[in-house]
Formats: sequence, C-alpha cells, structure tokens
Amino acid sequence: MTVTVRVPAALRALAGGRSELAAPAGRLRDVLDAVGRESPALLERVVDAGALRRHVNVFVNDEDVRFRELLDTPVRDGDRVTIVPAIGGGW
Amino acid sequence: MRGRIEVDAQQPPIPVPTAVLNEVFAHAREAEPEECCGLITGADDAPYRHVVRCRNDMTLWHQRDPAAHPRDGRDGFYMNELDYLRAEDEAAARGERVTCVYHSHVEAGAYFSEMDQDFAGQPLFPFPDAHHLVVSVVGGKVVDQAIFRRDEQSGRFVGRLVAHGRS
Repeated sequence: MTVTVRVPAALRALAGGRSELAAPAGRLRDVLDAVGRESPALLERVVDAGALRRHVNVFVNDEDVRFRELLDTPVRDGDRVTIVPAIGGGW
Repeated sequence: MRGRIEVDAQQPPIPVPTAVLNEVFAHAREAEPEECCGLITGADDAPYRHVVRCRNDMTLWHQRDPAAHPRDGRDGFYMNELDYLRAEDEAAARGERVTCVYHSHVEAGAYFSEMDQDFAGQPLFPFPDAHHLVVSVVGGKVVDQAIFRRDEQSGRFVGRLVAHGRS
C-alpha cells in the first residue's frame, strides 16, 4: 500500500509530466523525500531548508498540514497528498 | 520597489461578456467590506464563460496568526485551496480551463498591486497564463475594473481596460 501524491500542473514537467506519483506511507517529510528521490527538482520547489516554501501548501486528504503537524503530519496507506500553490494578493 | 501596475489606456480593451462581469461585480459587492476572489473558466473560443466563487481565507489566517498574516480580508485575499482545486477539476470535466483569476480591491483602485504581482509571479503559480481581473469597490459600489496579463515579449504584467461584450 502506498499514498498518492497529486502534482500541480505547474510542477508536472519536473515529475516527468505525471499528475500523480506514488510513495510509501510515513510522515509527510518521508513521503516528500521519496518523491524527491524520483524527482529532486520537484522536491526543491516544495521544501526549502526543512520547511514548506512560502506560497506552497500541502493537504493530506482534505486537511491542511498547517493545522496539523506540518512536515511531521502522519500520512497513512491510501491517503492522498496534494501539493497546492497559493493564490492571493491584496491592495 | 516595483510599485503597482496601472492600466495602459493606449491598449485596446479586452471584451468580457456582460453576464460574466455582472456575476463578478455581484460577488464583489456581497463580499464588501472584504475582498472577494474566484476564477473564470472557459476555452479558446470563449475564454470568459463560467464564474466560480472561491472563499477568501485571509481573515481566517489573520485571526489564527496575526504576526505572520498582518492583513485581513479587507485589504487582502487568500483563495481557499480546496475551492480552487475543485473549480479546476470541474472546469477540466467541462473541457475548459482556468482562464482568469479575479479579486476585488475595497476602497482602492483597480490596479495590480505589488502583493498581487508577488503571488501571480511566483514560479509555482497554478495558472501562469491566466488573466487577472481586478474590480474596484468604493462605497459599496463597483466603480472600476481592469485586466492584467503577461506581455509575451517582456514577461511583465500589463493592464488593460475591460469592455462589456456579448453575453
């Protein structure tokens, strides 16, 4: 059993054009590390110095990891991890 | 400082169907005193077809961590991620794509602010080819609107007037 990682359109070129990747369950940082072993450039765009980059967020299923344990959030078999770039602004 | 980007009135206006503009304007008025945000989906033959409202989570973020998020929804927007992912999926199911990101400025003009540029210009911005429709709400009324999009040659955002097109 594995988890599914959904790759946003803007990053698919770094994942060989794939919209989804598979990785073993574990903490979120383990899942992203596994993705990074396959697509290092993808991981680089998501994580910097051991933390999520500004303007990038991650959901485990429908839960925002900022309200859980960030990169230590547990990800179980069958879960869905979604990398989500932020959209915002203001005057 | 890059500064805000204003409309270049020398450029021809971009036509947007009146019905689409009216939906965006209604959202902007209802959200006031906060900024609204959402997406417009369409295809090459009709880029402005469906308006999809998204939640502005900026006040939520401000309440949770005012130091990290000094603005609230009155002077900023942060589009709810699940809303926009759902909109993207539903657009794809209709054979459409996200062609425009819209938001309002309350008691401020229809310009593309530095903060707007920061988000729209980030390498991971999910809709890099999308236009950006900014609506100005003053005194509870929509008083101006403009579209900002990347110039293909310079890569910079340029502002264009909006013309009411056919519904």
